[in-house]
This record gives sequence, structure tokens and C-alpha cells, in this order.
Amino acid sequence: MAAPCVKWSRVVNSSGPIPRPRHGHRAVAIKDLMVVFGGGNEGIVDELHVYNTVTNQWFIPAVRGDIPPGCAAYGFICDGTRLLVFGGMIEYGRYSSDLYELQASRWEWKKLSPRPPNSGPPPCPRLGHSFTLVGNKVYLFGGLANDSDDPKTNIPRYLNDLYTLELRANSGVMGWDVPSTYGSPPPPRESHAALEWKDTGGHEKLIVYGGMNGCRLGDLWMLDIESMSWSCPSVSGSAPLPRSLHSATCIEDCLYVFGGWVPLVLEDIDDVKIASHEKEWKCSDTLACFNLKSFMWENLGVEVFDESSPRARAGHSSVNINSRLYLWSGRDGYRKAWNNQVCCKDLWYLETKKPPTPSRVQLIRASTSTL
Amino acid sequence: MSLLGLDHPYARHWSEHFLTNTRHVLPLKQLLHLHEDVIDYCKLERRQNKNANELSNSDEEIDVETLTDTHHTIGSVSWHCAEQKARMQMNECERHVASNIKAGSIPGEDRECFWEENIVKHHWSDTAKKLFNQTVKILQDEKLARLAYKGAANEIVQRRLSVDRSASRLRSALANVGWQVKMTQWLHALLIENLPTTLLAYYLDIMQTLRSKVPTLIERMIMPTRDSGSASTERLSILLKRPWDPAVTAVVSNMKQKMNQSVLFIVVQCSASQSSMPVTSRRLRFWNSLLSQIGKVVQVASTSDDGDSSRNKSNPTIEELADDMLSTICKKVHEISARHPQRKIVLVGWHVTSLFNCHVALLEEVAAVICLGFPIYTIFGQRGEIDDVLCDVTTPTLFVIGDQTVYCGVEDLEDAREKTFTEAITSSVVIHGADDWLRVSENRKRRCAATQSMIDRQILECICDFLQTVFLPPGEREDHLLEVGTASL
Repeated sequence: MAAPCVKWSRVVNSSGPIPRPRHGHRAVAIKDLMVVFGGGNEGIVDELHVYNTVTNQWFIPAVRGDIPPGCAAYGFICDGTRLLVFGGMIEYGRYSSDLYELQASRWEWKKLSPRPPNSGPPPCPRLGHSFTLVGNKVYLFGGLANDSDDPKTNIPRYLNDLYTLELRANSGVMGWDVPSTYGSPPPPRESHAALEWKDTGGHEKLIVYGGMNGCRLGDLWMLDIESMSWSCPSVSGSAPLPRSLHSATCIEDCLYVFGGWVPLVLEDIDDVKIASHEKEWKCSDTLACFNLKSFMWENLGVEVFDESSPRARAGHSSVNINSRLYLWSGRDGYRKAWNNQVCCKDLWYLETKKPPTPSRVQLIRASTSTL
Repeated sequence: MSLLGLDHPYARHWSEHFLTNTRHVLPLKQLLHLHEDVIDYCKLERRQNKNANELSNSDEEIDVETLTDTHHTIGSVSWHCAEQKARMQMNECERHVASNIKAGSIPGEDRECFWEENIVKHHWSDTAKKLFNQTVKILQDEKLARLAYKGAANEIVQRRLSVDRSASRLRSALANVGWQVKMTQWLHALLIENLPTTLLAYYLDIMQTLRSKVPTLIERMIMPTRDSGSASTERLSILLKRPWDPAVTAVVSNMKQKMNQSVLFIVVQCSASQSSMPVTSRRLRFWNSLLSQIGKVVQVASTSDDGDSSRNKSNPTIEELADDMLSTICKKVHEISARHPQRKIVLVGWHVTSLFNCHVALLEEVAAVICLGFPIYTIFGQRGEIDDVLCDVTTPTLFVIGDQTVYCGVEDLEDAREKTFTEAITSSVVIHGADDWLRVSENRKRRCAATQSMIDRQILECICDFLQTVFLPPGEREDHLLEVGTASL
């Protein structure tokens, strides 16, 4: 099977108020719109920005309701025209476990208080978790909690708990649930990627890739939604370096993984991947493609012209809009002034297949008939 | 640094110091600073306090009882004005006039109050009347200015400034009549003949200054009176040839020894002209002589003589020209540094050239870069953004900028220094009231009682200080900064 041929393009000359560069933000797509919220750099951002991919225009919708505080490394999903925000860092060392809803048709925020699960407490405050919509349920997995009450000290705890949040159409009533799973669950992690995928038989799966639990992870896990069983399928092909704070986007059975922090030491040791005592990491600018049908890492044919691919970064956001992958901001990898990390301010898209030829004749006919 | 701090630094830490690593940012220095300057906003203050706090943690007692000597000398750390000599030079024109009165070549009676009435004006043209009136006004103003600062401690500086101002006013008055030879010669002859002694001395002072600025025009203007050939007029012409300045007659302490390093300054010319002849203004020549006080100076043109490919093209694009200039400078820097292996190479450039120098520093090994006026704004946005290759510069760099320039904002430069030029030790000097070429406005000079050459000397001191700091081994650098920090408190 031929590897897909992809091409990076940088978006230039966007109009409208361009948001401040940042990292740890999240983005979701509603039709042709990319909605960006939160993140931060030298302070957490509480702005909501929307980018229209058709008109190449940024705008700031006038939001109302219970506007949430800014948060970074939180969970963000889109269900129809409703967006849900959960958790994340809201202040230095202080994490949230609040759930907010944004109705994109009215740009109205609402704070939700879902009922706790039947057995046990609701999910604890965390950041770097995954929050994925599969079917009509949102799956919350992993993340990093702070076991200290004092935000000035930090006792990190990596999580691998799984919660579900059932959504009902046009209803604000929701409840957390702790589903019982089978098989051995993935080890604890944060800043991983999790996405929904439907196999050819229409069976829904939750894919978890990479993350961080003291060292960067490169393993891939799968949760079968029907049987609620975890598995760690064997993959073939040359796997990319383990990573966290990367982006992973599923476009037509292909998982596009870009950037993130990768260990520096692995490059030197051939084949023996010892990731337990890493000391140094760097940002990556590699784009990897995992074929979910064949479970194989594929070599991508990337059309590269000079300077025409995004630079190394981590903590960026990516969304899929009409076979394109839109990538925005993120922290720059190697100019590391700790006091104020530099963030990229560029917007890119990845063309994953040739756009269909426009059907001009039909358009003209249609427009004349409507006249 | 904890893993959490590394991976998730979204928010500011509750303690700024925890995350602070600004060792590469040497504190900003301000010259000609007045209280109401807008730059003194809290962010800069905070930054400076931060730096100052790091530096001054000593509990030394501060002496508040002993009176310090209040005698005001003109000068600064590296030089002081030889006051007597400067005063001599300052009054040279007056003495010339006085001696001529004794010799009888100029009518000596004091007609100060009604000299103007003796001149028959009714057959003059309107332009002539206007020019004459303007000139008289300039001389009267000069007189008032001198009365105002007479006997003041910094009289020498004030005199220089008021004469400069009058000279520029006269120049513009003469330019209004298009420097017509007939008109200027008539005015000169008229004034020489009729001015009372005091005003004549002022007039000569002004002419002396103007002659240094526009020599040919003034030569033409004074030609007929000079060619009369008497001894006194000959002396006058010698007198007119040498303008004085408090900083030129300065007694300089040995800055070279203080440097303790043999430095080679490569001054890169800022011109893309085709000729290889170095084109320099008076000021740039003065700067070369200043720099030669602390090291050897080599001047380098940014265009090469040998006919290469881009030269043969009639219309090279800006990019081609820039590439060409960059490679030429690199080649020359390489040659010179190979010839002087024991010297520290310091690149000096004005304005756009300073930018070239920063790029050269990426390619060639140099000890430091001095940017005199640095254009941080471009038509494509600001320099020092994340994609800028300049972020990779590791050479210590000093930015000297004026706060009146449109090419560089102080705030933006400070941000860029802290955030993006993180690989290099950088320092900056802001001269208040100065433009792209670090020329200070008249107003600011008057209020701060400093002439341009005095300010240039102060800049030189900053350069010297900066080089001293960066040439120190890393461990001693902090101690030195501490010393400087407490000294300025």
C-alpha cells in the first residue's frame, strides 16, 4: 500500500485579531471553523479565538454566561455545536476538575455539575489528561494530579483512571461513570494523545498513544468500546521516537503524529531503547503517520521545499478540517529561556490528499437556475 | 528544575526568581536621563530593580555625613575638560576682535546701542532687509543667551551649545536666500564693517562653527574680505578654521590600560555605493578617533573592489546586494582576524551596518559586536522573533540606541534581549533624545548641558565598560557587575 503523500503549507495573511502565541491550548473543529481556547505562556490565557479556514480570518466571538477561567493542558471536545471543557491548570500548581459547556451557536458558556459516579468520587483535578468523544460518551483518561494542598509545592501523581461522561442530546444532565474494563490498562501517563477510531466493521475504538510518566512513552493502546477491553496491539514499521505533548489527528484511518518532546539519548543508542533514565529532551519536528487499518507506521512522502515545514515544537494544537490538518502555535523547542518560553506564532495546514477538482460547470448551472 | 516546570510552564511562577535566568541580560544604561522620560515605566524599573537586587546585597554602611566636593568639572569617568585651555579657545574670537580694535583696523568706539541706525537701508531689497534683520536677531539672541549663563559652572558647554544653535539659525537664514554669493558677501562685509565689538565677536564665533559645517560656502562668503591681505584678516581665516569643543580639548585618562586587552575595532562602512573610497562624515571620523583611544581601528568597506558577478549586473536586488555585502564583510573580517590573532576583534557598525555585523558574528569568530543604532523594526515585523537567525548569535552584543528613533523601541529591544537573544550576553545603552545616528536634539543637549562630542565620549565609556565586562572570565563577571552596580548607586 502506497504511503500517502502529504504537503505542508503555511497560512499567511490571515486577517482579524491573531491570538497570542502560546502552548498547552486546545483546538476543536466545527465545520470549517477552528475554535481555540486557553493555553498560556507567562500567564494562562482565558480568551476564545475562532479561525475560519475558508475566509482565512480570525475572530473573537462575544461570549456570555458563566465564562470559565483560563486553563491550560485541559480537555476540549466538540459534540455537534456544543463544546465541553474539563480540568487543566488554572494557576501555577493549581488544577481544576470543573466542567464547562460552550454553546457555539449562541457563544454562551455554562458551568455544569455532573453527578458523581455511583461508586466513588468524581475525577480529581488534573492536567494533561485526554478527553475524547466516542459515540455519545466522553472518555477521560490519565493526566497528572497534584497531591499537595499547597499550590506552592507540587507532589505530582500520574494517573491511569478512566471515566466516562454520557452526553444526551439537548440535555444538560450528565453523569460521571467509572466503567469496568477488561485486560490490563495502560500504565499511568499525561500529555498523551487519545482519539476515536472506527474499524471497517464499525466497531468503535479509543486509541491512546505516547505521553509522559517520568519518561517519554511511545506505546500504543486500544480500548474496544463494545467489550470495554484494553489491548496493546503489536505494531509494525519503524516507530517514531517516544514522545509527549505531541499532537495526533486521525484523518481517514491514518493517525498523523506531529512534534512533541522526544528524548535526546535514544538517537545515539541503536535499537536498544532505554527510556528509563533520560536526562535530556528536545522538541521534535517530525511528522509520523500510523495506519490504523494495517497497524503499521508508514513512511510519509512529504513534499518539502526549503523552509516549508513547521519547526520543532510541543504543546501545539491540531485539528482535522476537510482532509486538512490545521496546526497552530506551540512552544518552540530549542530557544529555552526558562523564565519565558518562546512560542511559535505560525499557522500551518497539512494537505493529506489531493483536493477534489472543483466542479465549476455544475456550480454555474446551479446558480443560474436559482436566479 | 522539576519535570512539571519543564513540561507545563503555562503560568507565571508564584516566585519570579524561581524561574529567572537572566544572566545573559546585562542591565540597561540610560544617558541624558530626565525625570519625566516616559521610558521610566514600571516594567523597566522592575527589571532594573531585579537586576539591582541581585547585585547589591551588601550591607555596607552608606556615608551620609561627609560633604563631597561640589566643584563642578566638565567631563566624566574617562576624561575631564582642561578648563583653562577650553576657556582660552572659547574666547579666542573675542580676543581677536579686541586686539584688532587696539591695532585700529576696526573702528573701536562702542556703538552698541545705535549701530544699526547708522546703516542706510532705504535702497535695500526686501530679501536683503529680511536677511539682515534675521541676522541681527540671531546675534541679539546669542547675546541674551550668553548673559543668561555667564559665570555658570558649565559656561563652556552652554557657550558651545548656544553658538551651535545660532550657527544653525544663520545657516537656515542663508539657505533661505539660496546662499547667493552676492548676497552672502554683502552681508559679511556689512557686518564686519558695522558690528560693534561684542556682536562682532559673536558673529565670528558663529562663522567659525559654520565654516566647519559648510566650508566651501563660507569660504565663498568671506572671500573678498579675506583677500584684502592684511595680517589681521589672515589671522581671522586661521581662527575660522578651528572650531573648539570642550571635549576635544579634553584630558583623557588612559582607558586603554583599563581595558587590559588589545582590541581591534573593525568599523564597517555603511554604504552600498560602488566606489571603494571610504565616505565618512566628520562625526564618523571623530568616532574612529575616539575608538582609537581604546584600541586599534580598521575601517572596512562593505562593498568589494574586485568585479564579481553581482557587480556586473546593472540592477541587483536588495537580497543580492545584501548577500554580497555580507560575504564581503565576512571575507575582510576573516582576513583581518587572521592577521591579528592576538587581538580581540570587535565589530562596530552604525545603524543598518550593525545588523550586518550581527549576521557576520554568526559566520565569523569575533569577540564582541557594538551596534550603534540598531534597526529592530522591519517592514516584515520585528527582529528577534522566533524565526530570526539572529537569535542564534552567541557573540556578546551591545546595543546603543536613541529613544527618538523610529527603527527601535526601547521596550521592544529590552524584550528581545531578554527573550530571544538568549544565547548571547547583551547590554543596551539608551540615549534620551537621540535619533538613529545617536545625534541628540538641541533641546536635550541644552537641558543636560552636554555637547554631542561629550555624549559620544559617554557612549565610548559605555562601550569600554561593556567590553571590559564581557572579556572577564564568567566567574569574575558577576563581581564586576556588583562593583559597577554599587558604584552607580
